[in-house]
Formats: sequence, structure tokens, C-alpha cells
Amino acid sequence: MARRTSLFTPDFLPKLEALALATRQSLAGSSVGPRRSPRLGMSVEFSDFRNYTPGDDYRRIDWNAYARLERLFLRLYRAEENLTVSLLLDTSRSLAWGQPSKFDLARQVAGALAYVALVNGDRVGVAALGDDLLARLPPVSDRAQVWRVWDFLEQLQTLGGTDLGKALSSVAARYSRRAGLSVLVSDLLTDSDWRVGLRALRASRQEVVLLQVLAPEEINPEIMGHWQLVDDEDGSLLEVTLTARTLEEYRDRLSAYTREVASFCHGHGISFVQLPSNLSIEDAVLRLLRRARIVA
Amino acid sequence: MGLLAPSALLFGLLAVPIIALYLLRLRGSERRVSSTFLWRQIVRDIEANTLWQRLRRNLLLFLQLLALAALVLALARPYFIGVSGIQGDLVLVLDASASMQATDVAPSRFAEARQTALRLIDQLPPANVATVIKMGDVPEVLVAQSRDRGRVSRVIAEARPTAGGANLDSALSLAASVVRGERPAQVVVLSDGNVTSLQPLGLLPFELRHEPIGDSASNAGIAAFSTRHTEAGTDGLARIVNYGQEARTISLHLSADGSLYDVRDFEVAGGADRTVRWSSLPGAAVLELRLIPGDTFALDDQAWATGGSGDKVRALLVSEGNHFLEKALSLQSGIEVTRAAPDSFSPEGDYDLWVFDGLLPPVLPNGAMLALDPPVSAAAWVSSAHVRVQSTRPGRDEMLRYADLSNVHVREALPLLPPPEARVLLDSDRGPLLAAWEEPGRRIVAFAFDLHDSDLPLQPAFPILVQDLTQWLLPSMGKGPVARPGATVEVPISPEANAAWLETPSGRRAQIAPPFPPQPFLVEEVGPHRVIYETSDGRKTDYFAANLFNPMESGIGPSELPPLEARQELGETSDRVPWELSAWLALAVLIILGAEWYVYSRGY
Repeated sequence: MARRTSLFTPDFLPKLEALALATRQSLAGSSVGPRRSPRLGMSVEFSDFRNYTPGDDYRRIDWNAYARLERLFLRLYRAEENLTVSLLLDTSRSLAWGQPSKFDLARQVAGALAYVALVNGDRVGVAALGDDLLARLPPVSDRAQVWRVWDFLEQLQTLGGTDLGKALSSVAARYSRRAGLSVLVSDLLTDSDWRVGLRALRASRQEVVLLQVLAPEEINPEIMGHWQLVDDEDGSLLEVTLTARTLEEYRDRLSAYTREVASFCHGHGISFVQLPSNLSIEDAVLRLLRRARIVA
Repeated sequence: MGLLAPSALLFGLLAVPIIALYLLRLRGSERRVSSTFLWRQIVRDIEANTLWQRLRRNLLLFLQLLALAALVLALARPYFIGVSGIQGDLVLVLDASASMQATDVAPSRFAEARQTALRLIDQLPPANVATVIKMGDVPEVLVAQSRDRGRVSRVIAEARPTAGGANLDSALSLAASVVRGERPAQVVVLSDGNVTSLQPLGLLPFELRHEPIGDSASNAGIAAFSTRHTEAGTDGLARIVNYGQEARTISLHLSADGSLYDVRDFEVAGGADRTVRWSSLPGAAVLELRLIPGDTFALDDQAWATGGSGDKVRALLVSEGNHFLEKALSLQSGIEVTRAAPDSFSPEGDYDLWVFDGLLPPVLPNGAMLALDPPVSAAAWVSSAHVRVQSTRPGRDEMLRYADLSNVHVREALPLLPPPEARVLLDSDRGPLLAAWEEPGRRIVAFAFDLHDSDLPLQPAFPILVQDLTQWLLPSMGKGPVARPGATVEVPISPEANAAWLETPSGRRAQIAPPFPPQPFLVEEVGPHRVIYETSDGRKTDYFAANLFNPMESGIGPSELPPLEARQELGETSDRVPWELSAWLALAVLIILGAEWYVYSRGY
């Protein structure tokens, strides 16, 4: 691979070769691939017999069984199909915060998951979400196409506000009724109702993985004193006196919010992982995502 | 209630900038954050308790304004009119005499006096000064005209009583010199009334008040205890006095060097005394007499006598025959006198005292020497020609305390040329006639005349003089000095001593010599004092006893102060005095600032 990407160091990619996206349920894609489909179909892996009924493809009749039993049985095979993985990136301005920024880690994780998917023959599409669906890379399926994904990710910029409900609903509306895997990377620091968007994804037969990226100063802020806090996304002002006590209240509030997200995800069969932005990509993918059984 | 500096209230305007600063401080500077999403939720939580939050937010401002208010008030010097028992400056005279150690008021009279003194200091209006005088045999100013209440209280708390007497005249004279009549002053004497006051003091520039201390006169004590060496042995004599009104059953325990020797039980009627005698007492360095059971005044329940073992000192009298001298020497029970004619004299022999009458050997033997009528130029201190003496006059010397030499006549003498440090006991128009001095290793007393050429031996003072001279010549012979607490004493040290230490009854040891002779020692404790001295023969120990033997102090019954002839009254003065509150307000400012710091650091 002569080209280089700014997303990873070259020695990181070989570590991804052995990984595959682990989905909770078998998902059927639109084309034949290495992933086991819940639909029985035309492939080499035998699954079961059933009685012949008129209209069935006679080519699938097991003539050997007929010779022995004098009854017509149809051979059933498990179909192996590929998976469409949708990488949904929150590109609002709040993602630009953190050292290194939350957006850097979000793009790295998305790039790594795209590579894992394409190596395993899955299809990968990318969408940039802001206050709506801002940009989109249609699904690509060839391993060599990973450059398109990475290039797309690299040219994304953070700007504007967030309306995850609206953006995710737009994404969901574009899905065919075929099942797939959607990975949403966001900080979820938004008033918009992300729950609506996630429910829309689930309604579109998507298995959903939610990766929440937070900067260390958002997890454990250390500023004290009297401030006018300016929201970087919408410029709104908030007057606060930050003391040890209010910082404690902030941390409590963040914990409660995290519990709320986790509880929602659990109730809707969504995988949820929180990633601090100062985490290395290796730790994020090889340790946290693997532990959460998002990759295996 | 009023303000001494009302214009200081203008400082209250400082509240305006404080409030302005507070309002400015509320407008925080801008700070960008990724999202105010979570922060808004907290503010919502906080605003759910708006009233409480507003209160908390304003707590710091409230505390700052409160501190400012207290500070401004302190600067305005508010006062209220209060009632004080003290007018003008205060002089406290603390009776520190022995009787103040009586424990008829718990824990002791002196402690009670200290408590009263501290109470009076608390009542003293802030603008007035306090002086504390400790009244002993010699009064002592502990602190003079101080406004520092802490220091005055500390000095009072650290004051200790003495075992001596209380000289009211000196103490009041000192108080008068401290006060100097510049400001109205009140002198409060904290005393049980057992004080010495001999002469009227004239017009005192202050008002005098007596705070009586003590409530009981019940006390029995040892008023005298002495021993005397006789041919038959050592005799002892003690006098026990019951100073109280009720009869007391007393058990008198006599110990010799720590071992109980005799017990006498008897009853002494109220106000009566009893004399107790012992004969043939055992030879002991220290005899201790103890009165059992003890009473509220312990200092006179014990007495001590010292006197060595009773061994006699040996003296050699070399004389053609001197009836007066022989008689005077033989009157002293502690001396064994051996007589020798000048012809048969030899410097051999182990004598403590050599008495040469009419001769002086060219080489003086070791030991003390009493020389009378020495031959012409027999020594450096003997002049070369006899002279006729017209008049004599006694020297001013402690040794002549009991011997009156004011009317001595001498016909002819060989005037002395004693060393400059010599003590001249009898001087004349032609030179010293009687002198005493020390040389390395010995003491010398010299008479410049033949006793037969004088009327001195015929005078009643003669035997007393001889006794005093021999006691000085032979310090180890006597029973030691009579020591009384509060007075100085000349510590008897053998001339052979190279160094000497004194150990008090409480075990305090101090070196008193060299230099020789030792400085007079101020006796502060009752009991046997040990004198340890080092000679070429080794270390030796002597004792002298200090006993209270002070009827003034033993009669502990509280009494009024002796009437003083003149006493200035302050006249019609009001007992209403202004009390300033500034100090308390300053303290309040500190406390409020501390509270503000706490509130701020806790993040309210």
C-alpha cells in the first residue's frame, strides 16, 4: 500500500487484519458475501431438508433421498451474504474540542472500522451528520476502496450545530429495508433528540453501535471561578460560578446522563461504548471495542 | 452608649465599592466550551433552589459587609458607661510574707490574693494603668504602670510567696514613688494584715484599700528551738506557742539526723505557750523538731538546730597569766583551753586556736590566732613604738552587734598596721587597737594593747566580745549563724576552704566561694542549709538552720492594716467609668474574616 493516510500509522493496519465486525444477529445483505445470512439460499453450506411443494426450484430436489425414500425433499442451504456497514459521524463543532480532539479519534475509529469491514468483504458507507445529513459516501465494497473511505473521512470538517434526531432520521430514510450495521460516533452533547434518530435506525433493521467520544475536560472539568460559558455550537451564554461543589454536581450530572444513554441503548438492543478522546486508536479499537464485542 | 470617634463612621461608605466590586465580580469573563448542554442542566438544578442559592451566593457579600460594619464601629470607638470598683490607676500590693502561705483558704492565702488581684485587673477600665508590688521584707515592683493586661496577669500568676515578713511601710513608699500623684490612683493591699508598719508615712498620694485575705487564726508553732553544749552533753530547748484561741493537743517529735529520738505529747491552751527541754542529746549534725499534727500554717510546724557533734575545739593560751582572758575563754563551753607559760611554749601540738598574750613566735603555727599585746615589731602588722592613747572609738562592724565598745579606755598601745582589708573593731587617735583579718590558711585577731592597760576587761561587753571573736576565728566551732528567711546571712566557711557550695533545704545548690569571703546569702527557705567546702584534706560539710521563729507571721489571724496617719481620699468620684468596646469589635472582625475565608474555601 503505497499511499499513506493521516488517520493511522502504517503499523496499526496489520493489527486490524485479524478482526471482523461482530454483529449481534446474523444480518442479511444485498449481495453474496462471507457473512452468514438468516435467509436460506443458494450456497454450499447445507442447512436442512424440507418437503417439496409445487413451485419449488426442482434443481434443488435431493434425488438421492428420493431414491432411498421415494419422496421428494428439497435441500436447503444457508445463504452467505455480505453486510453493509454505515459509519455515521457527528461533525458538529463540539467534536473539535479536546486534546487530541474528539473528532480525530472519531475519524480514526471510523476509518479503522471501515478497514475491518472491507477486509472482511463487507460494504462500507459513510455519512457526516450535523444539524442534518451533511455529506455522504455511498457504500463501497472492495477492499481497495478503503482509500475512498479514508479520503472522505479526512476531508470532513467540524462545523455547525447538532440535530441528531433529524440527521439520523434522514439517514434511516435512505436505507433499503435490508438489515445492516450502523455505527454512530458522536459526543451526544446536544439538546436534539438523538433517541428519535436511534429508534429510526432500529426501525430500518439496523443493528446500531453508539460510540460516545468525550474530551477529558468534559469528563472532569477543572475550571473554577465565575464565568460566562459560551456554547461553541450555537454561541449561547451561560453564567456560572464554578466551585468545587458545582464541579462535583457537573460530574454527577454527566454520570446520570451516561447512565441514561446506556439504559436507552440497552432497552433498544444498541451497543454503547464511551471513549475518552485522549485514548489512543489502538486502545480504542483493540481494547475497548473488542471488550464490548463490537469487533472480534 | 456612645461613640468616642463618630467621624470614623464615614468609613462605612466603603460598603459602596465592596458592593460594586461584588456586582462586577458577578459578571464573569467569557470562556468557550464545547457545549453548555450539561452545564445548563446543573444551573437548572441550582435554580430549583433559587432562594437558598441566592442566599448562598450573597453569603460572602453579607460577611464582608458585616466585617466592614464591625471594623467601622471599632474605629468609631463605641463605649458604654459601666460600674467599676476601681477609680483611677491601680496599684496592687501583694502580701508575699510567710503567713500568706497558710492554707485556711484553699488552696492558700497567697493563691487567693492572686485570684483577687486578677479579678481587680479585669475590672480595671481600659484607659488606666496597673502596677503590681510584691510586699516582702523588701518590696519589689513586679510590673509598673502597664496597660498590657496580659502581662500584668501573667506577672501576678507567676508571683511566689516568701518565707519572710511583709514591710508595709516600704511597700507603700514604693507605691507612692510609682504613682507620683500625677493621676488619681488607688492602692489595694491584698494581705492578711500581718505586716510590719512602724512609722507614719505622711500624706499618701492615693486612696488605700485593704482586701483582707484569710479567715482563721488557728495555728500552733515552734517559736524557738536551740541547743547548747555543756560539760554534760548537748541540751535542747524549745518553745511551742498556740497562737489560736482553742486548746491544742500536740505531739512534738525530735529527730536527730533523720532518726526519731524523742516524742513529747502535751496540751497547750489557747494563746499560751509551753517550753520543752532535753538534756544529753545525741551528737547530730541536724536536729529536727516537728509538730504533729500539722495545721494550716506549715512553716512554723518544723524547726531545726545544727551544732556539729559537740566535739570541743582545742585552744592553747600562752601567757604569763591573764585572769580576764582565761575567764572569758573558759566561759565558752565549746572550747577546751590549755595554758602554757611563754618559756615552755613550743609550736608543736594540734590546736585549733593559738592565743598569744605578750609574745608572738617568729614562725606562726597552723591555726587561728588571737594575739594580745605583741612585742615591738614582732610581725609586719605590729608598729615599732608604744604610744599613749587619748581616745578610742568602736568600729562599725557586724561583730560588734552585741558588744558595746563605745566607752573603752586604753592607756598605752602598740598600734596595729593591719592589712587594708582588715576589720578594725576598735580604733584610736593613734591607730587601730583591735583588728581582725584573714591570711591564707588562718584568721587573725590582734589586740594592740595589754588588757591590764585598759578598762576593757572590766566592761560587760568583754566576755561577749571574746565569744564573738572566737566564733569568728573558729567558724566550725559555733552553731552556725542564726538565719531567718528574708534576711541575709554570712555563711561560715573554714579558712582552709578552697571552694564552697551551699545547698538549700529544697536541694538547690550554688557555689558561693571563691571569691573569698563569700557574698552574704539571702535566706529564702526554712530548714537546714548545707555548706559543703573543699579543703586540702578533702570535702567537709557544715550546716546552719533557717527557722521562721517569727511571731508576727505565726500569728496568722487576719487583721486590719495598722492605721495609717494620713491618707488621701479621692473625694467625690463617680464609680461610673466608660468601657470601650473597640477591642471586642476588632476581635469580631477577625472572626468574621475567618468565617468568610471558610465559606469561600468551602465553595459556597
